[in-house]
Amino acid sequence: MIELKNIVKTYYPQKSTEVKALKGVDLKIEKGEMVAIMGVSGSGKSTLLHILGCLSKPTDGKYFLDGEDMNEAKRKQVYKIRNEKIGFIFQDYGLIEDKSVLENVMYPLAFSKNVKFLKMKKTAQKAIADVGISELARKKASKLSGGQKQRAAAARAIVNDPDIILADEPTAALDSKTADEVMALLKRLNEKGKTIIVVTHDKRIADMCQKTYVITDGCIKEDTQ
Amino acid sequence: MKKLYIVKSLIKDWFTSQLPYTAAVMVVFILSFIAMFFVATKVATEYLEDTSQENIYYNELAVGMGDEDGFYAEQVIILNSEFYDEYLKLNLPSLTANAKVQGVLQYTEKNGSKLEGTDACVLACFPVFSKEQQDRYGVVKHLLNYYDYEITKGRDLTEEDLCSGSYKAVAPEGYALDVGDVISCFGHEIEIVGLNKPSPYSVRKNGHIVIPYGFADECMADGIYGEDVFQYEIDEAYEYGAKPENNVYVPTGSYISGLTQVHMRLGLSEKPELVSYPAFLELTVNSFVFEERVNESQKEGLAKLLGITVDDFGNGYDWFYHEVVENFNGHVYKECIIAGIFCALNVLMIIMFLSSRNIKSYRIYRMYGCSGAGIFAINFISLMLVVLFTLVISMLLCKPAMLLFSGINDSYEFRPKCVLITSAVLAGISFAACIPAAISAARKSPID
Repeated sequence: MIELKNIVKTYYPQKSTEVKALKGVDLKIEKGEMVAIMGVSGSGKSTLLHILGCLSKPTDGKYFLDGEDMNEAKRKQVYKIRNEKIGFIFQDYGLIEDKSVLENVMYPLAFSKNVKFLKMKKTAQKAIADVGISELARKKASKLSGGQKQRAAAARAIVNDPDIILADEPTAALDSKTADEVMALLKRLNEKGKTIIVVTHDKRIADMCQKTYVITDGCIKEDTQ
Repeated sequence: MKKLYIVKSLIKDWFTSQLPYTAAVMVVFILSFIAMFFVATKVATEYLEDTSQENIYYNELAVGMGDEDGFYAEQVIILNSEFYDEYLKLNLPSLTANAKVQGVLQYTEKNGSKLEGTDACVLACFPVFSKEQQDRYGVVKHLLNYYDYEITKGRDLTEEDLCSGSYKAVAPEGYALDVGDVISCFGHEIEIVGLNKPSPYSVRKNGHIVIPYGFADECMADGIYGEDVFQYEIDEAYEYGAKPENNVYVPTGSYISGLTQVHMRLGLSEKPELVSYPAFLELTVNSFVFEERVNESQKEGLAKLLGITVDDFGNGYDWFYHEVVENFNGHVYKECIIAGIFCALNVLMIIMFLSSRNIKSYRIYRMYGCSGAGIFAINFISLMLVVLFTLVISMLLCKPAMLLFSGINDSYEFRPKCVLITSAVLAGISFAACIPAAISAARKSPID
């Protein structure tokens, strides 16, 4: 379970360029939920996602992940959580273009203590099969279409079998048909028990999720419509 | 093992990247590194030459070298040593002792007290010739690299001191010797009658103990060990011991132009035929210096004049060759060092480039739980493996390259010790160069 209490994030504090990206965000996401966080560009949704993904720390407030205070967590613990509990999907896919899909998907396993070296390949192949692109495993990421890349990114996100998948604008660079396919994939993962958090500015995408939160000027509220 | 998988992946990426320029950069890196290695090895070879090599080189230069001022084209033909002794015996029986007139004087007692191992025990000595000796041996002071001195205390050696071969000396000031001191050397007691310092005109700038030539000559037999003496020259002394029994003949008409510079007369057994020779620059006790290169038939002619065969000539010193090489070295060596520095900078820049080339990868690794230290290790090991691979190639190429260059210039000599030292130093520098790049990569945030 994810719980944020009065999260504040300020960039360049006490400088003339100070930016308050989040101004006291409270959020609770239960395990197995599929949640959309909507907001216009610059509203603070990506900042929120980075905090949820333990990629940056809040300036103030508390973040509990499965009851553990992430502000107090040691670095090693944070690295472990990022590796084992969270999978990331980004708008720009975040793939290493010169590497094959298989290699890209294997990277998170290289930093995991749960999978042995000799089983890395097999585990990665299974994740690739789960997102339906087994035939592309040997292809370089640069040779894939947008939808295929996002599936490869999804395979990398799930390869360590994390509980949470954070998707930052996963469909923004895709046409609507491909976007639907990617969302269907995320839904399927959600049905398998994964907590999915999708950051989007697209209402149609948000509607595919169980809950939608809207973030405006660093403040969040649930969209009940 | 898993981290090595990432390392392998990075290195593979550098060598086989889709971006063609990355592969090209790797080639430039390897070439730059090899060039840097080669220059560094050459520099190491220059500065780490062992003493025996230096001596060989020095002797080679010293024998037959005429004038140290500037370059002039000449070829020196040197007599082989086994023939040289015989040659001297035949032609210069009374002058051979002069060959080692300068040396080191070692004394073991001062004013009756034994001395042990102090600096004052060893003095570079310089024998002084009396007027009579100068006439007899035809000593040309300036050619002897003469020690010109001024008396600062006491008196100088008198003509009588010098002619009688008395045991008196003038010591250099600043040493533990004073006027009136008596030092014991090889069983002889030598009285210090004065102190000296080099005059402003002296070629030699360090203080020498000045002793009569007769004493030096006598002591030499007793064991004054002479340093390798700067080439001594003997003026035309045919009225004395060096005078050959037969008439002296000169090889050609062109020889006349060099006649005034001939410091020794040759004793020839028969009148030579006229042979067209390049002009002599000078003759010394064992060498013949020509202004131009002498061809084989001319060498044969010269051998015939001397009553020897061409095989009796040793390896001469060919300034035509060396002048070019020395000039080449003088210019190219500096430029090579500059090029080597640029290559080193290039290597450094490429290390930075290779590191930055994978920033996206590092971000992804960090996102998926790799620590900053892990990124540092991955980046550092990857860079070092590339550097070590290149270093090994450089080491392997060094020997054939040195052999190739030694065909042009014999100073390019392969010395495993220098190669190993260079490798160790460059490996150390490369390690150090990789650290900032690796730290920079480790500090990258997973988000930007």
